[in-house]
Amino acid sequence: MKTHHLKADVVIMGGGLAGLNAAIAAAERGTKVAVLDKGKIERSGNIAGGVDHFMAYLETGDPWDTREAYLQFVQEEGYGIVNVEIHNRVFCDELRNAISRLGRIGSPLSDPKTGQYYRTASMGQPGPYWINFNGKNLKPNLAKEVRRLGCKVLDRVMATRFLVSGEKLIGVLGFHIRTGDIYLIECKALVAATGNTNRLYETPTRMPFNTWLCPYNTGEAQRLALEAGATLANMEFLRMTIVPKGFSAPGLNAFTGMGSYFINGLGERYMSTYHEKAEKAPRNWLVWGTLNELREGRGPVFIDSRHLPPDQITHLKKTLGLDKETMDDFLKARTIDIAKEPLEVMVSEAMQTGPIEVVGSGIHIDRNCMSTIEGLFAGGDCADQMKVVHMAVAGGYSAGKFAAEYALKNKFKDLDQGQVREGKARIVAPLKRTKGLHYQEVEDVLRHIMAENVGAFRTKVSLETAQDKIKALAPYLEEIKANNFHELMRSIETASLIKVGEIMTHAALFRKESRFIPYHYREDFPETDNTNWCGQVLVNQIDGRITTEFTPIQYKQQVKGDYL
Amino acid sequence: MPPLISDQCIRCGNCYDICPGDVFDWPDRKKKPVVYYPIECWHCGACRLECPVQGIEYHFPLGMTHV
Repeated sequence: MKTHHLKADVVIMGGGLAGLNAAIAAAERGTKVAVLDKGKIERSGNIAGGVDHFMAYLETGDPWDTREAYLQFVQEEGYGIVNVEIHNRVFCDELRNAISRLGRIGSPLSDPKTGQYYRTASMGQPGPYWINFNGKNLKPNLAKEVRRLGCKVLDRVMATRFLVSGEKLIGVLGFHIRTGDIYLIECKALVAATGNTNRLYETPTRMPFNTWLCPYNTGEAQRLALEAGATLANMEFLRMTIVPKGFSAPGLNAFTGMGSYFINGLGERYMSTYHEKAEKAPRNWLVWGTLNELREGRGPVFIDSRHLPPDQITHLKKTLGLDKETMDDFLKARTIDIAKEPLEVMVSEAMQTGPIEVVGSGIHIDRNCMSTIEGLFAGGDCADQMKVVHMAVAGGYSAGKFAAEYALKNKFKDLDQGQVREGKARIVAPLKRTKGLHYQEVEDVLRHIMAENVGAFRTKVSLETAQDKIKALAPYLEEIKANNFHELMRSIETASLIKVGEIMTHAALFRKESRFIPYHYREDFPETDNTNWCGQVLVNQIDGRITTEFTPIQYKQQVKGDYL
Repeated sequence: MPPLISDQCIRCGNCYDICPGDVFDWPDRKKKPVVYYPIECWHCGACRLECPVQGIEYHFPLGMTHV
C-alpha cells in the first residue's frame, strides 16, 4: 500500500452532483482542486443513472414564479428548521448561473428543440416549480467540464479521516478502493459533498442495496465532520417516499406532477382525507396517508394513471426512464402497463436526509457554506440547508465558490503526524485481522434496530431502546474482517452507518414534538410545537459522547425584501 | 441477479470502469468482466449506459418482481 502525498487548495469530497458543481466553482476561481470519489465521477452519486427534474422559479411574470414567492414557499414548507436567509444566498443567488451552466455543458433544462420548459406542480408547490428535463447525461457532462478545467480527479478514492489543526481543517486521508494505495492530501479548504445516508434502514424487500437513493452514500462526511469537531443539524429527520412495489426507485414526483391518483384496496382515492392538496401535497403527507391506509388494513395501495390522456402517458413513461434508467425494464418484468392498470406501490425504506425538498440534514453550515470547523465547507444533501437536485447544482456551486475564496486567503498548515499515523492504522485494521465478522452481519443488525425503533413511529422508549442496542453493537466494528479493498470500503461504510444511526437516535430523542410527520413523528409528542421547537437540534461529539442542544429560528410572517 | 453480461460483450471493460458500486471485477482481461458482488447492485443502469454494444442485460430477482 503505497502512500501518495498531494497538495490541493480545495479538496472536494464526493464527486456527485453537488461535488462536481463545487469543483467547477473552485476551479473557475483559479484554485488547484482535487476531487475524491468512491466511484468514477462520470456516473456516481444519487443521479449516476440520470435525473429528470429540477426545482426552480423562472420569473416569467406569474405571481408564484418570483424569488419572493419561492422563498415564501421555502419558509412555509421548511418551517421550523429551514434558514431562509442561507437558502436565499446559497441557492437563489446562484440559480440563474446554474441554469445557464447546465445549458452550456450540454444538459439544458429546456427542450433543446423548442427552448421551452416542461413544468409541473406537486409536493405542495404554489405553481409548477418542477422542470422536467433530460438529465441522462448530466453527470458525464459535468465530469467533462471538471476534467477540462484541470481538476485532479481521484476516482475510486474514499476519504476516511479529516486532518485538523485546532479547529481548522488542513487535510484529508483516504485510500484507493481497488489498489489500496493511501492518499494523504494537504488542503486549505475542503467541500464535503457525500450526500445523504442510505443503507441505514431495513428495506421493504429485505435487500439492503435496493434503495430509493444511492446505497453507496453512507454518511462518510457526516461522520468525519462530527469526529473532527463540526456541528451537525436536522439529524432527527428521516425521509421515505412511495415507490413501485418491489423496486425502491425515484419517480414519485413524475406521477404526482402529471396528475396520477393514489387508490387503496377498496378502490378509494384516499389522499384528500389527509391533505387538502390530495396527491399534490408535500411528500411527507403522501407517505403519511399511505402508511395509515396500510396500517389500518386498506392495502394494497396503487398509483393510478389510467385517466391521463395518451400524450401525458407518453411523457410520464419517458420521464420515469430518465429518473431511473432501469424502470422500464422493471415494469416490463412485472408486466405492468401504467396506461392500462394501476401500479401497486409501497412505502420505501427510510434514510437520513433533509425532510423536505427545500431543507437538508447534516453538516451545519453558515451563510458561506462553512461548517463550525474553519476550512470545512459542505454542499448538497450532506449540508443542513441544502436538498435535492436544484440545490446540489446551485448550492454545490456556492460551496465551491466560498471554499475557493477562503482558500485564496489562507495558507497550508503543517500536518500532525500523530493524526496521520492514527488515520492510516484505522484504514488498514480490518485488513490485518486474520478472522472476524463480515460487514453485512453488523449492518443487518443496525438496519433492523433503526427500522424497528427509529422509524416513522417513534417514542421515548423505542429511541432509548435503539440507543442501548446501537451502543452494544458498535464494539463489533472492531471485529469486522475485510478480505480485500472493496470489502474494506464497505466495512468503513458500516462504521459511518452506525455513527449516523447513533446521531439520529440522539437527535430524535431530544426533539420532544412531531414535525414533517412521519419524518419525525413522536407518538408520545404527536403535535407540532412551534412555541418551543421552532428551530434546529444541533449535534456535537465531545470526548466521544454525542451531545444535543437547541437553537431557535425566528421567521417573519411574510418573506419580504429583508432577505432579498 | 442483475446485471448479466451477455455474449455480445466486446471486453472493453466500461462496465467495470464505471460502476458506482464497484460490483464488477475483471481478473482476466482476455475474458468478460464478472459481476462479483451482485447483491450490491443498485440497478442504476450506469453500466448499460456506458456499454458500447448490447452487452448488459438486467434481470431482476423474484424478490423484486413477484412480491
